Amino acid sequence: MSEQLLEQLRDAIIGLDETGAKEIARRGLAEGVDPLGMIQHGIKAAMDDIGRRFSAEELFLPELMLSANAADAAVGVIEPALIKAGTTSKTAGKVLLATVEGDLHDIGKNILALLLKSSGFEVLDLGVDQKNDAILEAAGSNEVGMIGLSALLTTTMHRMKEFVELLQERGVRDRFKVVVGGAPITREFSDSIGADGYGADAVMGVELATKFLGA
Amino acid sequence: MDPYNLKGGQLKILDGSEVEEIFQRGLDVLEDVGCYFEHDEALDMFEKHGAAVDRSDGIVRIPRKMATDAIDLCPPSVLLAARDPDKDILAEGDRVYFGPGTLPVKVRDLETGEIRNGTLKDVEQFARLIDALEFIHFWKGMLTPFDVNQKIVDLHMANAAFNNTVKQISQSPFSTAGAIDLWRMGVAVAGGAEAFRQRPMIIINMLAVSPLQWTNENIGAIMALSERRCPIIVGSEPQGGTTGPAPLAGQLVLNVAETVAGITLAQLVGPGTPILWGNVGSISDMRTGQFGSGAVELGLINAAMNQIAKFCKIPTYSTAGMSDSKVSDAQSGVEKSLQVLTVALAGGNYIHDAAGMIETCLLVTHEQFVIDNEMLGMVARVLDGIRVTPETLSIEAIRQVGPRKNFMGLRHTLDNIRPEHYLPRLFDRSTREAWEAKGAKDIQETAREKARHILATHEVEPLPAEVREELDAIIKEAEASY
Repeated sequence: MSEQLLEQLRDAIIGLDETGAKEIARRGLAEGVDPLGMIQHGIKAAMDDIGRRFSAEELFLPELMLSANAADAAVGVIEPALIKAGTTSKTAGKVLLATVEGDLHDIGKNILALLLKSSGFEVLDLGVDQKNDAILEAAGSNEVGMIGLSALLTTTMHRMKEFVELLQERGVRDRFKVVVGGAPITREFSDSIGADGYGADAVMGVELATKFLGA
Repeated sequence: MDPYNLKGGQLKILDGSEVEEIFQRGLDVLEDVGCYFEHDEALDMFEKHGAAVDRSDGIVRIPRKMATDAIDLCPPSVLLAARDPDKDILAEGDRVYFGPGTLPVKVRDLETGEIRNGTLKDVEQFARLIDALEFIHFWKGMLTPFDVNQKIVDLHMANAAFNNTVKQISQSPFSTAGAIDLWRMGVAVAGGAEAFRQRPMIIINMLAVSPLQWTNENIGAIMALSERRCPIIVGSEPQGGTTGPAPLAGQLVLNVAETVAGITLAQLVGPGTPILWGNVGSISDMRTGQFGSGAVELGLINAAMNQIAKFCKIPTYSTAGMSDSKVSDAQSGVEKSLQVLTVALAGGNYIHDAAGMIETCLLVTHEQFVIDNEMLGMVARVLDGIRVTPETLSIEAIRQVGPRKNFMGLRHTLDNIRPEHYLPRLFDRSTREAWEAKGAKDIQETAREKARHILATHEVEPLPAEVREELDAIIKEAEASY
């Protein structure tokens, strides 16, 4: 019974059916299906599949977004049950995302935020044009495990280097995994500034989060 | 986008009075200067119908009325049937189709990279490649095979084509007898002469030799095929500066005179014979006298010719997509795209030379076919234009998203990607890092890989055994008699 429901949940997400995904999640709770299992084996499994197919250029961006919306909605239905059961509402760690100071571009970052959320991560999205000090402060007070910085402009990417330097100055470099992304960012750049990871797209961003924080 | 429903006609190089002017001056040339016909029966035919025939020099002066009557007899719509009816070509109005052309002698070996003479096996492979490439609509005998009887190369090529593609077939005859045998092959594939009338399985092309002469074998072919109402291409290929006047308008005048001379003969012999008005005109590079196959003027001439032929309500056989470059490079990309885009926008019905060739029509390569298919897809997208409907105006989507967000997560976006966006399958849009991760291959290597993949996997519906035997019998008979 539960296997069948998980399959339906995956199908609804892969079929971009937000209403259906919510409905199945509700039914699952009513039928006593393990909430954590629904997230891991239903929602996250579906998003892993979507991510793989998107990376293989079999899916369009809107399909990634719409399936993530459906996944996010289903997570929203299941969350209260998890809290009630005393389990943490999220299955994985916390990620902070921000676009660096002087840069107002956030499309890629927003896709990553949605994908991370629908994959069970807790996401603290600070938004655009964020000063390094503010990012570090938010990261410290919220105890995030990974910080994702985004930049689209070649004129703002140096902020990422300064952020890593700031972590070193404050002696907290080991506390956070720093990953960087955005159109002008390359792996070479990422390595040169001493970041922990580079994501060419949102799917790679989720992979990094999984690697650093566990699924 | 439906590759079999492409329409051009958006581009007009000439205004209406210029079209009329060029056409009328072409008829003046036919009346005053005349055209050489190297064929006694043709001279008899012209004389019988009231043309001024000079037996001493073979020049026929065609009265205006005779020419315009012949033009009026040409069907405005020509069906060119394919083995697969979904791949039929309907040459009419502004419908656009693309195909390769004509008779390069060399091929770049797909595996060794060696440039060598063509073989029959190469021809078969190219037919299969064409069968798989979605924006190439027809086969036109391209690479000349050197390992068959050189007198009946045309028949061997058509045989290779019929066996290796279900798309529409066109072939240049090597002789009058060859033209008739090509028609017989078409009849065999159609399933009889009457079936061929309904669904003609081959079109055969004959070009005048500029300036103003029709040679014996081509005249014989025109007469024999018109008698059988077999669809034919009648046209000419003056090269501005050498075999045609240097000004483009003068070249068009010459193309009108030469083509209409051939059309008149065809319609005198076989009233109502389906005809495509052909133009293969370009310019010569006057620094060397060499054919400028990649010349941008070729596109202009062919676009204008389409206007003139459409004015006469005759579908067209156009030329575009050639290059003088020796390799598949930036030069070939620019020369080909500009010509094809220009002629497609002018509504060229049957645009040949659009794929596969480089090196001034001497060399054909697999990778160039694959690259050109992508280029033709992009041109097809231009032809597809911009649909303006309540759905595409997107007011609801814009309202839904509002300021400061984006359209990525909308159903409306998803539903409109395929109908609105051309998605390259060959050209690379990835980042440098992703491209390097895939091996940092240039377009030639990527295209070669795709060609290899097609040749390894693409299967073509075989001809029925009895048709295959009939085609073989025609060739065998020709081997013995030519």
